[in-house]
Amino acid sequence: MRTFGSYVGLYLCYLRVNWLALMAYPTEFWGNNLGNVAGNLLGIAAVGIVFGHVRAIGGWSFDQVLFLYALAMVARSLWHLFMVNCLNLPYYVQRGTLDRLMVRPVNILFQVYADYLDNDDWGEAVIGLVVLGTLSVRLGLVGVGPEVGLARSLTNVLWLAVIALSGTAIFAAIHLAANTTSFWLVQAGAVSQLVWQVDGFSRYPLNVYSRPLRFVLSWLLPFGFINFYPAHLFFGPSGVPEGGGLLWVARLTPLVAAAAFGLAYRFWQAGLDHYQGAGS
Amino acid sequence: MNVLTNFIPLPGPLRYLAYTRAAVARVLAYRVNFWMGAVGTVLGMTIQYYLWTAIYHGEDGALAGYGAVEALTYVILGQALQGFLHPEGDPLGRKVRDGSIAVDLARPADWQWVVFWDYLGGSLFRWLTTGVPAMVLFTVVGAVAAPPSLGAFLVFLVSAFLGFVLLFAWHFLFGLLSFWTKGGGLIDLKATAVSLFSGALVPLEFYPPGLRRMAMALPFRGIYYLPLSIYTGRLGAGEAAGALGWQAAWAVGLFLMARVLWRRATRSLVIHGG
Repeated sequence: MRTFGSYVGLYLCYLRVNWLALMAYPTEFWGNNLGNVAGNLLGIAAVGIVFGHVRAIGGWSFDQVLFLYALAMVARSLWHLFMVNCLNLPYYVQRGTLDRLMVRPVNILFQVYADYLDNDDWGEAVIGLVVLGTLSVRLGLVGVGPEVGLARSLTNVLWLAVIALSGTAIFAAIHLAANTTSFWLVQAGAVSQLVWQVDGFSRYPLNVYSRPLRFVLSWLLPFGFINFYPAHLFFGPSGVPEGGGLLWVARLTPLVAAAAFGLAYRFWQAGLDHYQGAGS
Repeated sequence: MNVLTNFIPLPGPLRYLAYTRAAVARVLAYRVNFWMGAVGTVLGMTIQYYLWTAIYHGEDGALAGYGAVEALTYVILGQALQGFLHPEGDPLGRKVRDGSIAVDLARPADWQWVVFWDYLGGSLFRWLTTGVPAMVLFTVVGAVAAPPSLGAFLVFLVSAFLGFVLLFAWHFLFGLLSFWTKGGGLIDLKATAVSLFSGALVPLEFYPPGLRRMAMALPFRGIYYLPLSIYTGRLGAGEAAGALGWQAAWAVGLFLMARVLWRRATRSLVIHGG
């Protein structure tokens, strides 16, 4: 069994190789990230355009909806920047390149993640952080003055970090589970694309959707725990449309994230057991 | 070869219908993909339904001149069209990078038409099998309004087709850039320009004045905004005719521009072979 330290060292090697490969086409790197910035600004602009005409959507104000939006952006970009290669799992299975990873004495999923980083989601990460930071101050969650208080600021920042990382784990779990189906389905790329589509639901507060949808997005594909439930930790009972009743659900977020990733990982292991190689 | 027959290839293009058939066969061959795509389209429409219902919740009157039903019809049909008009990646850029464009150029077929008819086959098939039934369903349950008349619906079909040609020409033009940049990149930028200025997500009337004026001046509104406005009945018969002319002019113009650039590009192409 390898130690944690050796994995860190290994990861740094992978990072270096990745970066060198990426910089063989620097224009492509900048082009992709420029496009990424534009795409994410567009998403925010679309919210802004609608709020030019209404004061609230589902009981959430413009600032609150943007806060939810940014929270999802940060989590999504962290997943995208470091774990995106699980989307290529279907190709590893189809072409049998997974065999190459299986004969090495290193965790296979770790290798899949580290094998390739596309590095084209930096725009989402930066914009997400800037918007989240700005709105945290504007919504009175974080501040240096007496009106917020140092203790409350620190608690909120800590919670924000926990929530962002939990969100990353949830994205990782959902995408891992979706792509693990490639061990059984030849066209698993389609399942993964569908998951991207469902991700669209996470951009707006969950309470605008119907009950059955809300159940699915909470307990089957837990996108709701990326931003909707955790938001209840920050706004207080009077600041959210459904009052303080969901606060206990919000506190479950890290547990839900851990459970989701644990389950996805078990599913992945079952997929590996089922895998027989592509042959040649 | 005669320059004229190259630039005005009618009725030759109809020969390329074989590519359209092949594209349909390809969609059918990947059945799981097809079904997931269909479910995805319906999910996307569902998101728009709930989102816009929430936007209009508690609003008595119209927003930006749109009543709730008209706005829902616009955004939900827009979502259904996106499944149909969605570009399939960046075939041109990829082919230039990996050099496989050389094989296509060696074939005795005009590649721009090949891509056009192929793309049309896949899009049309998915629209007929997914977009249309989904729209019927959303209309039957009363989430969206039917078009005001059969005539408006037929004009919408023509307008949507012209929107398709416009989008195709735009993708093709953008793809040609890769002959010079040799990189993929900028794909997101290309899609963003379309999303923002075409009115795919939100009707252009909702935009702040400056942005709206810009969108009105650019050709992208011919892709979503005009067909959708014809469907909702916002544009009357006279305006719709004008819209079709405007779309056709831009579609033909961009298509020919892509053609000229394509010929220049293929003359200067150097493939790294091995």
